[in-house]
Amino acid sequence: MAGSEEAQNGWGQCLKRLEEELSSDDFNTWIRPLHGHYDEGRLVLLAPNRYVCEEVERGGYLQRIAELVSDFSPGFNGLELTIGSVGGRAPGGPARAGAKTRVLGGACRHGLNANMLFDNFVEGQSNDVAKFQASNVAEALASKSAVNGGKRKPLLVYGGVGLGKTHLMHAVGNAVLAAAPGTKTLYVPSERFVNDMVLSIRTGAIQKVMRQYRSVEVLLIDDIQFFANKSRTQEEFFHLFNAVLEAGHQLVLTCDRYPGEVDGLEVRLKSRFVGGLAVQVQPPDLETRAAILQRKGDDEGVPIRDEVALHIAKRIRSNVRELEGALQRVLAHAKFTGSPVTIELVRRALHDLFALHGRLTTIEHIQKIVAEYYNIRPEDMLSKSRARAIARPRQVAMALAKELTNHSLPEIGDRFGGRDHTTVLYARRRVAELREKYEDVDDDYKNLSRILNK
Amino acid sequence: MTLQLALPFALRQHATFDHFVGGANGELVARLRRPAEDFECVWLFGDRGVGKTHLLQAFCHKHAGSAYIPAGRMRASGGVLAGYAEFRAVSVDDLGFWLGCRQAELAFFGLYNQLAQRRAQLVVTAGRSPMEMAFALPDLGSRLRAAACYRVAALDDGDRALLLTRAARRRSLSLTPEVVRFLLARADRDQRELLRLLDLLDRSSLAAQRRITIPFVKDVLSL
Repeated sequence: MAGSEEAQNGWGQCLKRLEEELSSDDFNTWIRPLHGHYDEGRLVLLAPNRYVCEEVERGGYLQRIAELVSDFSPGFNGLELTIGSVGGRAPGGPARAGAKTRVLGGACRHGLNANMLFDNFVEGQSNDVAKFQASNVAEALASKSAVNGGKRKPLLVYGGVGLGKTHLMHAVGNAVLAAAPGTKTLYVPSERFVNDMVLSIRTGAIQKVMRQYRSVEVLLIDDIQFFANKSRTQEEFFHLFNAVLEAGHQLVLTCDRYPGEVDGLEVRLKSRFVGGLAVQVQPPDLETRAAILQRKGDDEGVPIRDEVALHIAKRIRSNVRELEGALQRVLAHAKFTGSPVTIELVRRALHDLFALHGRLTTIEHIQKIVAEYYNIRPEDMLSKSRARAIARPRQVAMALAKELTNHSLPEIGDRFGGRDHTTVLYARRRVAELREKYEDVDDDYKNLSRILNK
Repeated sequence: MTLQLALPFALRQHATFDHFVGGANGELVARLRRPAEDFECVWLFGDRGVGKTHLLQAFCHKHAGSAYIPAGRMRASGGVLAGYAEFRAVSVDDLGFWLGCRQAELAFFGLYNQLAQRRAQLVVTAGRSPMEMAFALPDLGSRLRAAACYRVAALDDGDRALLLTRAARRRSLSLTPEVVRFLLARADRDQRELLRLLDLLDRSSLAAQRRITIPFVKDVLSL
């Protein structure tokens, strides 16, 4: 309609004028998030939230908008500022011409990321048990085999951040939907679950919301450590947990540590979380890290050669997410320069990152952290003492220095009070033996490795 | 001499990619210009005045349906960040203001997850890389450390001269190479400071009805 177009142009002209009048900061912060449309000559401005609304009014922008729009739009019939967004489309304008269509807002009602599948989950010693259990759960759900009168055991995947817990969780949901598309499946990050609880309690809709959650056949809740210290959420979740299991539905949960270690979580919840299948994922070893890089490269259509993957994997050890971030940079650099992915290109693309890792993980830092962990003095690391309480942490620190830095054996020996490189070699072997033999030594080593890689 | 009154506003330095002198940042600019087809998080870091804010605002200018959030001007909470997940792209300037505070990080973590779920785009700036930042929420830290991380490189003298010359041309000012060299030798390396200096010279030259020459610059800057 011509009239409506003219009116719409009025808002467009107003935006152009404001962009000239205001500083870039003010325009981008307060005006850009507004979406304007006309309703019978009335300009309705949608702001994303109350805070933006208040600032637009308080800053005098609303008054100026009214002045400009009345100049630009004949038949202008008032202005309304309200909170809201355009249904099915992000605020700010029409769909980008030529951009790949992405449906936003409610398109993905189960909340699953379709790219996270068992097929592209790279398995290694650090996560094979978790993958095995998760795929068993998915198969049982797909075949409906375990429902026979019994309750399904909840699956809990726990472990440090960025190790693939969320990937496994989505893979369960995607596998179930692929085999049995009608299955009512829902993925919810825990903070959204908490928000749902808070909002529904405030609006008196808690029963309705809980009924909706109870009706889900495969309920996937990510990062349950965020329930800590939220007593009402925990109360509601406790009932939901029981109801879901009672109905023969499946719960899949993730947590960043063993639930028993989460402070502020009720004991009854802790015991339920680990009462089903609780499996741990651990940081990936070198080979798994390299395999992850190669898999991601294949997914992007850029094969990564073994030596290139190992070059990156040796330097980025903390978690899978960081590894993916590094690979993204490498691929973007290769695309931009039109060069093949070589070690030289990796060095150029990740120069900052590698330099930073080198700075953060120094031998002195390792000595300090290990000394703190075992409650000894940092100087003891350099001393001649052979007392076990000192020598053992020193050996662990040497082994970690070899694993986490690129220093040679003689360099490491030198920094540990001028020791010979054979002492470092012996320390590495001794620590490996002890880790094999004693679980507590292995746990200590992994904890330290995690702390140093944070 | 009669002084002409300079109007109390300057022409805005519009934050667009066309007005950004890229220098060694070509790869980054190319990345920000292209729309993302799936969720992606880009982290820009670098010293003050290298053009991070300009890049972020240029990104918003380029992509319809983008929102710009200056973290230094807003205290992050669920309420303040509500609704931003509806945008196709969200940019957060100076994210460091929110980091280290658990409540702020929780609110931002919620926004991050919603954007990821909706396959939107997130671009943030900070003084340092995510590896060097302290996070109160390890979950947020691990997600942000997976971002495509770019250091915004400072301009070398050749690019600073180009920036100054282009900005002058937009103001219909003519600066001789000698004046440009004189200014660069005395100005701050911060791009914003450089442009502020140009604004000052622009207004002074209009008021005094004089061309911008080295003696005039010396007068204005009391050198």
